[in-house]
Amino acid sequence: MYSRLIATGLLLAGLVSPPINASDKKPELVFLSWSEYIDPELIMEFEARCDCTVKEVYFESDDARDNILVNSNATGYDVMMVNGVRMSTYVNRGWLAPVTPDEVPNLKHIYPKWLDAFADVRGHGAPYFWGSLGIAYRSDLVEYEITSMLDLLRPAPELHGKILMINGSRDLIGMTLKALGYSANTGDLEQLREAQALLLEQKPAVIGYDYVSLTENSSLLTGDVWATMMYSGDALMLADIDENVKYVVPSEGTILWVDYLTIASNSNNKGLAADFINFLNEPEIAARLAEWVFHASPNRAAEAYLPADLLEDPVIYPDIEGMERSEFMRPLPPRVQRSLNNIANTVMN
Amino acid sequence: MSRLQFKLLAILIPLITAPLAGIGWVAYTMQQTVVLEAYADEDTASLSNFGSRMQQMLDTSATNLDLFSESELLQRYLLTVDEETRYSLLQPAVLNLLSSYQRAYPDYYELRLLLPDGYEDTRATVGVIPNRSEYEAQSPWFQALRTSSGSVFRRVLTNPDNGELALLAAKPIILRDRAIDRITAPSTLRGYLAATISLNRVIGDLEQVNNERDTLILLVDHQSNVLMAPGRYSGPPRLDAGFREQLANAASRNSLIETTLSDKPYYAQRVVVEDGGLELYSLRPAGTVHAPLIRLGLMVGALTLLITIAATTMAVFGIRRQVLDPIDRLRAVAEEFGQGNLDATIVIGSRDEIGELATAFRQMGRDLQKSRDQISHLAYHDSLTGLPNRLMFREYLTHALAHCDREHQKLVLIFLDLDNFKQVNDCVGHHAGDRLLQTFSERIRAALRSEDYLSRSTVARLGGDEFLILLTGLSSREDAETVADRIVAQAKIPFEIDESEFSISTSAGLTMFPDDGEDVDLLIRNADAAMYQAKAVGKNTWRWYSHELNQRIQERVNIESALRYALEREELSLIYQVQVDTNTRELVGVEALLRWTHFELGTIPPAKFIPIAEETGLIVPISEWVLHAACQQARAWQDQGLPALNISVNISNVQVDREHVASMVKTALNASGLEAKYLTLELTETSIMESPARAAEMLDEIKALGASVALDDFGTGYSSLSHLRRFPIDHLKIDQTFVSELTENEDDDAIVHAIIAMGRTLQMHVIAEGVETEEQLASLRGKGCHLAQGFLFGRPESARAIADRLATSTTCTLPILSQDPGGT
Repeated sequence: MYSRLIATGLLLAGLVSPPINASDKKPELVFLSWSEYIDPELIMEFEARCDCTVKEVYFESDDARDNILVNSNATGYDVMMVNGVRMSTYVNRGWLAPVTPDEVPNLKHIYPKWLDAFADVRGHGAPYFWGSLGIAYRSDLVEYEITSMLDLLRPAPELHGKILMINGSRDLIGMTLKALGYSANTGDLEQLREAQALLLEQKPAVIGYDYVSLTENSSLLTGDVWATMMYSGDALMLADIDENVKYVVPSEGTILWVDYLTIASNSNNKGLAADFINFLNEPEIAARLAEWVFHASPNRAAEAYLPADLLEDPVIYPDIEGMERSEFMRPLPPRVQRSLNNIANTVMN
Repeated sequence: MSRLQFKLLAILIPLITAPLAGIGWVAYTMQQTVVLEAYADEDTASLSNFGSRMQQMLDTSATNLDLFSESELLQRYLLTVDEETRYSLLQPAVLNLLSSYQRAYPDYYELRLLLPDGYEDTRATVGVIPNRSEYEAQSPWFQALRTSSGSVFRRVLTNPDNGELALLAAKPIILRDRAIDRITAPSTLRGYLAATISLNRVIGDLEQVNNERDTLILLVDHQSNVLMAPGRYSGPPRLDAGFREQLANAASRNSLIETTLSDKPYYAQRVVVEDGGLELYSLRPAGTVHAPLIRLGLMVGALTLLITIAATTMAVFGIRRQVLDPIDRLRAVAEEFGQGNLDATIVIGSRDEIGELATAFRQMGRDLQKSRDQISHLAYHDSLTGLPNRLMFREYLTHALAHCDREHQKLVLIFLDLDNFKQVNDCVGHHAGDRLLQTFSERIRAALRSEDYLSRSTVARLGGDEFLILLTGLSSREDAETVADRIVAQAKIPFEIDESEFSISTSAGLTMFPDDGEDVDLLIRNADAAMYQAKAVGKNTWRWYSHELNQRIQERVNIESALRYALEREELSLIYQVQVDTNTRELVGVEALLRWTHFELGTIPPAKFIPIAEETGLIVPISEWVLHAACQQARAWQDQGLPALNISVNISNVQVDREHVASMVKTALNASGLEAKYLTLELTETSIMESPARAAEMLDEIKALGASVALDDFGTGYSSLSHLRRFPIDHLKIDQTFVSELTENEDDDAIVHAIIAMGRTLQMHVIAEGVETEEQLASLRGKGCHLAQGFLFGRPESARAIADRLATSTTCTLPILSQDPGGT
């Protein structure tokens, strides 16, 4: 599927790249992001405000995004959603244009800690949302309460064939490492091997490695999948549709994630892109966005516009400090990354 | 016969068996070739199939690696030196790419990127395959890869990660760093794209073939290592060079090579997969090839044997029926022929050679019959006249005698002999004689046929001029006499032969059964004797057999046979009758008389044997002896000093007729040394008169020698004075018949008187024979007869007695007479 997306992206990039300002055509902003990660109304508002069109291009995992960008050399996209652990890599590749308060004045509303959560974030990215990675399951179908990653990794017989595992390699392996009591950022090849073994052991019981969609047709809603790994907000989005969907942060701890909005260095619409990021960080807009995606917003100013129940939802706002075993994803040494790649490939392909 | 059968079978069976065996052998070899070819085809097909599949995999792997290595991502990845970028950003994508390839090519279960130093940078596998080592630098295949020059290196090997046979294909990826310069930057080896390709499908099929068939298919690598073999493969894990060479040198791909591997015989083939250093061998255990061939051979052999037996059986029956049985029948017929049954029938109708042989046998039977008839005819018939011969006649006569004996009938046997036939033969030759005999036999038969109503008759020729006639069913002797008359009459009719006419006669002897004899030999002898009797009575007539007559004839026969040996046995001797002067009674000469003293019969008078000697011709040597003996004796007397005597020797009629008497006389005179003047030869009047011309000639010759001639027995013949005058005769001897009656019979007296007168007239001395009385002497003397001989002067005496008489008397000899023939 994403190959079609790549093709579309390339096509769009080709169409966009020539300077057509002289024509009547509106400028187009190509936005590479997760699906169901932005309120369409806000897009329309921005389009109206800037007299432009926003073209959304989706990826379904961090690995998929990497793949898209590697293949396109990050060309054809204006705004790109990048998770924190990839920031320095992308910066190193030269794919990211500067994102500073100069270009995006609304950065001033952002909690500074999110700008320092990962290397090279400051100067290149604007935090979008943050959250946890946990387990979403159908409480009506699963007869017991799922509390641990091991409930998925060593599933009860009734869950066989009903589990969908996430397709991001660091998320998958990281959560497995955590389930084994190791750090998600471990460089110990032996621990990695253990994680691989566990995943391979689990593999026969899983439907596959993918991320459920967030629409009403989601396989979690249809009941084809009983339990899966999900980002916290996404789970809440589905729970909003079906209350039987439950999200739980595994007892072994979670991986905290932060997504950043970045501007592609190959973009021809860097100004518009900065405007778009700035638009999304307007406190009111950011609040609407958070309400729509059920994620925690890093925008301090937005909190003023958010309802209390949202601000107090432990799913959305987990107690980071209280979660001893939770951690951010960190870049790995290349050789460790290589091993992880192999594990991921071995497990998922 | 069984030998012939054996011989025929000995020819036929090889004729049947050899081609059959040949055909069987050809069929077997052809079938063997077919079987071997079929096996070869099967194995070749298998090998080619797998060979081409392997080749195809190799080709595909090369193509695919070429294709895969064209990936920009891959190239970018390899050109990326920064490890973080490489592994954090690019490798997942590369792994994804490789995995996507693997989804298209599930057999490519391991796709790897190897760095030039052998480090295994990226590894994508289908399923979980534990990785033994991340460094391939020490792997033999990697070392080979590093030194290989081709675009895509390929090798089949055992993957140490999973222990399975796999095709390892690797392509060196050499790139310019485009970041530096797309054109001028040096191409550097960035790494290798290596695919480990599962051979399980091929190997699975191979194993299936190996399990399903007798043939073993081996997969062998470039170093002769057996990579894959079925469980029952018992050969070495590494093929020896000799074995490989043997198959590599095999001229034809599509043929099985007989070879051995670990001392086991195989039919093998080889296919080389060029690019992978691979070899495929098919090993078909010889036993599995030979077993059907042996079955085939046995079947062909059994079939050949069966057909041979069947054909032989048929041949035996065929030969027996078509050849041996007919031959057997022919043999039986031949035996029948041998036993004389020439009428034996031959039941063979076939139109072949045996049929022709049977026909020839039949012809032979007929010819034999004919020959036997001819031989029998020859044996029983006279070839000249066609009449039955003596043999047949005797048989017939035996039967007839038995028959007549039973029936109390009479039987007459007639013996015929032609008179003087010998003379006919001598005169005109045997040919004419034979013709005469044939004609005569015809006449006899004709004569007998005309008498058929009287009796049954059979005529036979005994040989020469002798014939026998058997008459049966006679009513009387007269009947036989009638037949004899007719035959004698027929003989008298002149015979015309070769335009000459011959007059001849026959003499016949008749004898009757049972009156004259009762057995065959006796009857024939009797008839023969009767015939002689007829001859004796003057020939040209017939006589019945009489016993007395036969006695005489028998005696005569005895004399004849004894006479033939008389000279040899010196049974002949001479005695001498003196001749005296009628006046003085003085001895003037002697007449030599022949005396025969047989050692058994005693003295036989000349009257008995002289005629026989004359008839048989013995008279010639006897006369010669007499002449010689007489001359010698006369000379002996002279030599004794006795007065010379005149000696008279009788010359027979036969001698006068045939012999050169003169030369004989001359020889005798020469031999004895007697002067001719003392010798007088006496001839009878009749002997001279029979052929006067020859007699005159002879007498002239004798006279020329100097001897005298006396006419003996004068007066009994018919000599006339004219005849007497023509002959140079010195003495006339008056036959004693006249002398004996001289004194009592006037006629005789007159005759004697006339003879003496005639002698005087013709100047011949007259000697009177048989003077026995003084009266006779006186009468003769009175009539002027000067000389006489007879018992009055003594009986004939021996030479010694004559010598004594001469010694006691002085005598005046005949020469006185000669000197004075006309004396009173």
